[in-house]
Amino acid sequence: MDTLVDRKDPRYEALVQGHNLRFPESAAVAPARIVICATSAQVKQALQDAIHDGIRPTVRSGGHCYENFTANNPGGVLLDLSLLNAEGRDPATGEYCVRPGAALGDIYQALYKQSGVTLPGGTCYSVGAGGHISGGGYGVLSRLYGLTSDWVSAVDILTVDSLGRVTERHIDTKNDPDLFRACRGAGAAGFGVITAFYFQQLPLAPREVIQVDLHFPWESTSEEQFVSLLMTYGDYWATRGSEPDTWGLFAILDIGARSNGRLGMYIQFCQPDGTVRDVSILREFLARFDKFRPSSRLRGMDGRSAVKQTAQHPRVELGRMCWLAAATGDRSGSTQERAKYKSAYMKRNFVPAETQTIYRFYSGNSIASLSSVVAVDSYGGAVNRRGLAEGTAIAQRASIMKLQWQCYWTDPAMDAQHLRELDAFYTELYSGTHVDADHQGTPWGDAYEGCYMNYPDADMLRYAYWPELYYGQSGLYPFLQKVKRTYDPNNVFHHAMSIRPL
Amino acid sequence: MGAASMTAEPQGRAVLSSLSAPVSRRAFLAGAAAVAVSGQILSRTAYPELYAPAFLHLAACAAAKGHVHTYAIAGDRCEFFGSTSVDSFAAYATHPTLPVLYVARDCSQWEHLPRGVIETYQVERSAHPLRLVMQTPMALSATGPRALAVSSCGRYLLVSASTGRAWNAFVLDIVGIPASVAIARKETGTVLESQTISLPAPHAVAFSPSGPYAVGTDPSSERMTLLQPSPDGITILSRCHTPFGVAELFPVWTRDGRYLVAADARAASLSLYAIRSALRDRDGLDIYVLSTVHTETPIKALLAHATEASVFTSRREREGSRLEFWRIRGDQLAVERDTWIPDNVLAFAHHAGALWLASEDRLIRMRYQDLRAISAMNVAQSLQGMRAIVTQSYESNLI
Repeated sequence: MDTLVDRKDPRYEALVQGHNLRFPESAAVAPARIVICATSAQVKQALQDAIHDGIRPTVRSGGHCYENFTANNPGGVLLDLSLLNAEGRDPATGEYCVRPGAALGDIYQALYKQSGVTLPGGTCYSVGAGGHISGGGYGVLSRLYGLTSDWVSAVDILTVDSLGRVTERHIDTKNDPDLFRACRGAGAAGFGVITAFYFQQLPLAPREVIQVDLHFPWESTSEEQFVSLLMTYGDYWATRGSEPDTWGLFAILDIGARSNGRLGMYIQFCQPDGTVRDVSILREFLARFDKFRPSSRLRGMDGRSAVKQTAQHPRVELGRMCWLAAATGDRSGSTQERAKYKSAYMKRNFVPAETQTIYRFYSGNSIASLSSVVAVDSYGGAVNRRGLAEGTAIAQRASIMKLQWQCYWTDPAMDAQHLRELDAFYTELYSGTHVDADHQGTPWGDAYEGCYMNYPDADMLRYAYWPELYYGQSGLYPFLQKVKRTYDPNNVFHHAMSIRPL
Repeated sequence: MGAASMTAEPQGRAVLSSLSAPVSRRAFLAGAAAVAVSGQILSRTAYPELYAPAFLHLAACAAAKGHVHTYAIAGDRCEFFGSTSVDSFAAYATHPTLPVLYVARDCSQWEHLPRGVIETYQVERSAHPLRLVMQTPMALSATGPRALAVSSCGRYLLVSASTGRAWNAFVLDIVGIPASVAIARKETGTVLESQTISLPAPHAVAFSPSGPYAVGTDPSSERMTLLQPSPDGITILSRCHTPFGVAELFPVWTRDGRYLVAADARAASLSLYAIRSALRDRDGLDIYVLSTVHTETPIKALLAHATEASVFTSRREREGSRLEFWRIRGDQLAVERDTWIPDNVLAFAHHAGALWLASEDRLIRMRYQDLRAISAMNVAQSLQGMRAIVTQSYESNLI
């Protein structure tokens, strides 16, 4: 039996909200009921009931959706799959199976302990697999191993046919291949309810990694130095970082308000063989930033003996730790706040105009600058291997960096100001001669590859070409529309940025 | 000026009156002036509200651009107030007691999201008679609104979303403003396998005069549905297959709320439906077909009588229109009166015991009793793509 939680249930208030407290925006737009499903059969029945009742189903796994795709469902039903959370290997087939409600941290633990393998997924422990994997699934091992969705070999999905019948499908490259392709990157875009992901093989988890935090003296950093810092960072990924021996190196340049002193970098490194016996690549990378006078902090093997070093050329070996501790030690992402996110893929290094805009924004004292960061993730490597775009629904296969804006606050009365200021910053960053004239305000053109669907941003809807921002310009979106018409002819599964019916 | 003459009132507003100039455009109207004089006298007894003023809204839409032309009518006087431009006009409905007009815009996207929008207008006696007071988005994915209707209690606004395959309802507040969040019901999977022709496409809606439930038609799946909105959702009370399909023309309820008359899609015919208490559910209602009567040509306009269980229809015949007055006898519709007029009648409305007929270029006022024209006036405004006319009393809520 599934568990039904309606508005009268004392659990309703706690369960209706995900991690972004902006949603649901009001009680009036919240779902009328939540059905907590622990088995695929329960999901099927709950979905069939929703169809029968003529109400809209939305689907939640871990509750980390950045936009209002699940919690804003007036009068509808929220299918909570968080208890459909098993993961492991089928001894009979050798396949690994991950259910959508499984949290990434738990998956890493289970797969590692059972088989010594992992997913190249995200760092937030509590993010659910359902949305994460179906939307790409990107993390610190992605430069080494590609996206999680690249490894998916089959999917169990419930679709609803034209007569309203819920149909169970086991899809792969031979069975419903178009739908399978769609689920490898656009699976949260409105085709059905995924109840399992299968992987014929998975990459071996690294044996060990080194984690380094760099902190730059924001207060004393001039605009010129700031520009240089960002361009030094971008230059590495545009040049040396594209060589396969560096793919075990991953970094996030973290830029926040100058007045908060937030200007740093997180680095994780291992060699392609999953060891850290040779740290020359890491040293080479760190050396590029010596001129910016960082202090460094190493996370030790025991997870608590962090070593702060102010000297240049830190003894990086001290930061060696086993991979599992690194992968599961970060419990971030479990807090609930009001939030807004944006994203952009970059195919080349920064240009001065971009870095100057970022500098101005974070040197100022706007509300959004004080409560936001832009994280510049290293990208590329195995993600950009040839041939992956054709078999998946991730179009961005040429980028070297991915930017993510994260803005957090607590007061609902400040929603509009945060949203407005962050949007203005983003729009300004992508306006000017470095952006295609017809696509001002968006990361469009030779230098960019649009935005990441797992970091959805409803502000982009104001651009008629928003599907191309998220799904590229090579025909992926029309393909997804055909899949939508075939497998969800009634548009049962929809949200603000789902695939629009033809 | 044709059948009408134009004079100027002190406030400078154009006033159209049919009676001060000889009518010549249509032979049948040659005697209209005389009829009108006697008609007023005759009607005054039967319809004490004869001279009660009302708005007459006339909607035309061409190339996705719609206009609502608003007139004031009282007796045989018709005064043009002004026109209001509405992009992607789909349908409109008046509030039963308030000077409020609702417009559904046939859009596939509103504020960058896939949904239609409902506009609420305050109706005022001015050169700008429709003042936009609210735009209310429909539910997400409720696209392609085709029709809307307000319950006789004034509490609910019901909207069809044809391409979104859904019904939407809004609770109206005491001044007629819709709640900001739509109540939605999807029609997914409601077509029986044996009758699958195409996917559902909700189209027309019409509230019963007897209670807060409405009939919704679906020409695509050839059925009618009785819908009951409430703050908690939209309940399906009953469904009924339509033997000859259901035309895009909106069905009408008889005044007593016992019957529904609808034009058929796959035949030149008119079907009579009855509403009865559901056998299986004392609180429920069933809708079923009583009879179908064939006509020589397809019905083009349909209107319920204001006080009796009868309807008026119009259909094309020769170069004009055949108007027929149908009375329900037993379980059949029977023509009681008919007449032919040399106009292409596009829509009906009624007010104060008279019919108002809109043709391609003029308004004709006609008596209930004998279907004789009382007056006619040319309409200066373009009626290309004429959709519908409605009347709305403003006697009790002058602004």
